Amino acid sequence: MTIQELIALLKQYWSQQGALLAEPFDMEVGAGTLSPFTFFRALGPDPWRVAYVQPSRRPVDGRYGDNPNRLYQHHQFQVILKPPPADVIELYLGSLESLGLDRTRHDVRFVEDNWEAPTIGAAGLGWEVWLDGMEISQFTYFQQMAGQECRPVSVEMTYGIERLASYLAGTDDIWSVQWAPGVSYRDLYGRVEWEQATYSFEAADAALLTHLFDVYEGECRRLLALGLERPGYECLLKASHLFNTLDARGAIAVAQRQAYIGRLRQLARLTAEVYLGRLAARV
Amino acid sequence: MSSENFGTFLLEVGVEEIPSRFLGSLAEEFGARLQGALQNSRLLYHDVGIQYTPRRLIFQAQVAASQSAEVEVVRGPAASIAWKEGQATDALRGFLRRVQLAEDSLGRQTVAGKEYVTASLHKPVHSARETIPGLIAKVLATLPQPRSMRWNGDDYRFIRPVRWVLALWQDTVLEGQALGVDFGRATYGNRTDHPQAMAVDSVSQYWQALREGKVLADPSERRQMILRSCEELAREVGGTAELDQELLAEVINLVEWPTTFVGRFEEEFLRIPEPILVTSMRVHQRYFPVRSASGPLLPYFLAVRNGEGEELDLVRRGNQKVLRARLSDARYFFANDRKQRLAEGVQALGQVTLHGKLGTYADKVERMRKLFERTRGWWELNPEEENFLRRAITLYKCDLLTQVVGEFPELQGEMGGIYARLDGEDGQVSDAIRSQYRPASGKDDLPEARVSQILGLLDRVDTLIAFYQANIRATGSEDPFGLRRAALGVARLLSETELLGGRTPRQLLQEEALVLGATDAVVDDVMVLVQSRLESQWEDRWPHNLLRAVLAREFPWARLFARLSFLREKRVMADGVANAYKRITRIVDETASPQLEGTFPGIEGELREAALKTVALEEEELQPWWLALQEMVPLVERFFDEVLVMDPDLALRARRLAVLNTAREAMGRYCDWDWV
Repeated sequence: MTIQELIALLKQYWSQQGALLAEPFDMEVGAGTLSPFTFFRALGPDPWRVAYVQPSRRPVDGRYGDNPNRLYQHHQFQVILKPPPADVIELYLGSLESLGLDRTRHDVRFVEDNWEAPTIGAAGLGWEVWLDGMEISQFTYFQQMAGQECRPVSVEMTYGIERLASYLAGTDDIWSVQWAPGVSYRDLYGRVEWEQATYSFEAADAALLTHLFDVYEGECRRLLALGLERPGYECLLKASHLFNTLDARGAIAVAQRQAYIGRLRQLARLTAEVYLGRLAARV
Repeated sequence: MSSENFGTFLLEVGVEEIPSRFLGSLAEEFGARLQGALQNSRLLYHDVGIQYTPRRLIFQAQVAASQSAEVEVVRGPAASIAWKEGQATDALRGFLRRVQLAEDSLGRQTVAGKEYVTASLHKPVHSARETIPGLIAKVLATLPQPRSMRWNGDDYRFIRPVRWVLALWQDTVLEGQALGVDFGRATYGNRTDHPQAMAVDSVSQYWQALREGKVLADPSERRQMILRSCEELAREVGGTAELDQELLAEVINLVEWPTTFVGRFEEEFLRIPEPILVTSMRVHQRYFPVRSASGPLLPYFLAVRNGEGEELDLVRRGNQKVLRARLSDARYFFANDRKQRLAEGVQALGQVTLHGKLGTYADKVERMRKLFERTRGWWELNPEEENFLRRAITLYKCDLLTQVVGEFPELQGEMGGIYARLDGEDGQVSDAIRSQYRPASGKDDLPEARVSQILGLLDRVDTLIAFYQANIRATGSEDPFGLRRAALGVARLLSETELLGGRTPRQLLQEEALVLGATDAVVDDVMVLVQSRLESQWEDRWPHNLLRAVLAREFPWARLFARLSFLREKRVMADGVANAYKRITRIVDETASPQLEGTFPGIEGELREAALKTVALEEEELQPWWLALQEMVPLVERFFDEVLVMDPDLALRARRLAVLNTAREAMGRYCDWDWV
């Protein structure tokens, strides 16, 4: 199965379950959770079902394209069900079956995992899902987003596309997996991974990035004060990615780390307040 | 009550996968609370059964069909004010209205010499069927959870979402709901083999359905099944399974129906150090390693899948692939680490933070060095051993910078020892590094070499004083930095070895306090923690009171065993001493009065002389001390008979108190008799 087939099957399955099929969010994020389709929609009372692929950048995980399991950028298939139906786990298992992973021929395990994303003040409880001993998904009941209690709760199901694809291809090595017939993962991302790792670990201008962090933080606050939650939030995402790159560059001392995370969380909280305030006022 | 008045109550709470580490205790509490609720509701019960899997908590009992009768006697006004001239007063009429009874059904009761009017109220009797639903709802809503969550728009909380509640009274469904879920008669098999709902019409059918759905609800059956199949499969590949109890307990609670299978990995991976292999299998993948009869690991593992399924081939291949990827990583990290010597990491320790408030590991190593040099003369090491210890202190945290430890933090120490050995460091140095966390528990063996013991001891003393000085403590169930375990290590090393010679535990803590500039209060608090770990370690073999009595004195703990043994042997004869001692402590205050010179007439002189002689005995001369006490006891009695301690003459009083204080010191030299 090629990666594009895998994605098409998941999209088809979840659209049949009533999920809206969204496109990837067009900014640098570390996870599908940061897409506005999750961050904002997990707040407030309205029901919501969405599925999308989100390219996710984790600078510290870059390995110059050398490592079969670690990547600067991987792809998440993200599903949000709000509120979650009672048979949500069965629905998830159904999605695996739609990929040909018959439950009687595989071992699917739900292993305790308490998920947290401190930079956006999000926390949830759930599991890592193991397929024959390999982690392929995160399954989380959001309890908090941006410091706000989630009511109703959303379930987030995040599939690691590279993991799943290499499993289905029967290999340990993502680089040889076909994205489309005749086009390997290496063809698409090999050079890119090397460049991104080189940038994050060696070439990034730490002084400039530190300055930009401050700039985006200020801009975020200014825009939120104007009630512009989306542009404000996008500045937060910029700052968040800058932080991740600085972290990979080794430019954040241990003692500063918590302070940076606290600043980002504060922005997330402000964003949520503006958004929820607008919902409450029905503007 | 005859048996036909009892019925079967069955409850199954269906939950999404409960974290394995909490499952056992959660089920136990669930069972205990349901029994408590039945009892409080006057529902007799017997034959209780509690079973559980990751997806269900099950309770079954024979329960009385209706509540036991109970008469409550309610007290009314005093008889003297209930009637006036034969007529009921307002006070009595008010009481009759409240209890809704007529005057002629009242009783009398005398309390503290006063007679009162009483009414006997028959509590309403409801059937079990009416009563139990409310109990279920209440127990589930209030069951204590280690970490609970919400899963909907409402406020119901549980450890994981509750998806069904099967509640039967005999053959009928109880009516009600708990945590927003209506009671029903449906259950489910395990997710692999029988995910569909099964309707159940009776209790016996329920157990039948679980078998059909391949659910082994009894954890001990799951355990047996795993044990048996592991042993069998290991035999087939020519080895024995390493059935770590902790892992076994976890695996039992990860599956509803265990199917064990054997997997293998390439033999070349056996060249990776064994601790890495074992950790990869056991900790990361929950596999049991397989060992050959001659000792080394075999290239196999045992894993347990959930359910029976149709075939194991894909499952096996998948698991092998995952393990292979992990071991390839580990091999790569190990090879990278070997490119430089362990000692080359020393400089970089300054970049590894121990804790935000406690500086880096370079700081810790520096403190260790100071502590060792301050106490160097204590340990009776030869110059060569002293150098080994210095070397071990320099190197023992260097593996923090290795890639293997980055990937497997639990191997810190273990890997350092391996790298040190491969670097050609002396065996004493590598052993000390490897065993720095031993003893890791109350049962673990102590390291054998003194250099190893001292390294582990100094490390823990530094950890405890440093964290306590920064006001980070072990509180309640929270102990994220393993301070309790560190304290247990100190307690065991000091009480099971002769390391400290004639010095007390406090002296060692005080040296570290000087290194860190910590106050006496910090030393006191750490002393309390270490002593409490010592007590809990020794408590199962020694009477609690004796332990407390002996530990009330500060002394080298290497002598603890001898003191306890001696006193336990004398215990039957100790009453006289204990009584004399307690008699003295009742009268003298804690602060010792100054030793007085001068003449002590009669019994005062006799007791004083006996006490001084006893105090002057050499340390640990327990038998002579004991004999001296036997002589002192009658003197103490005579003393109290013959003189008045609290004489109005203050000079006399002070003299007599001083004598008693000396006697008390002599008697209480090896224990506080107040505890005996």
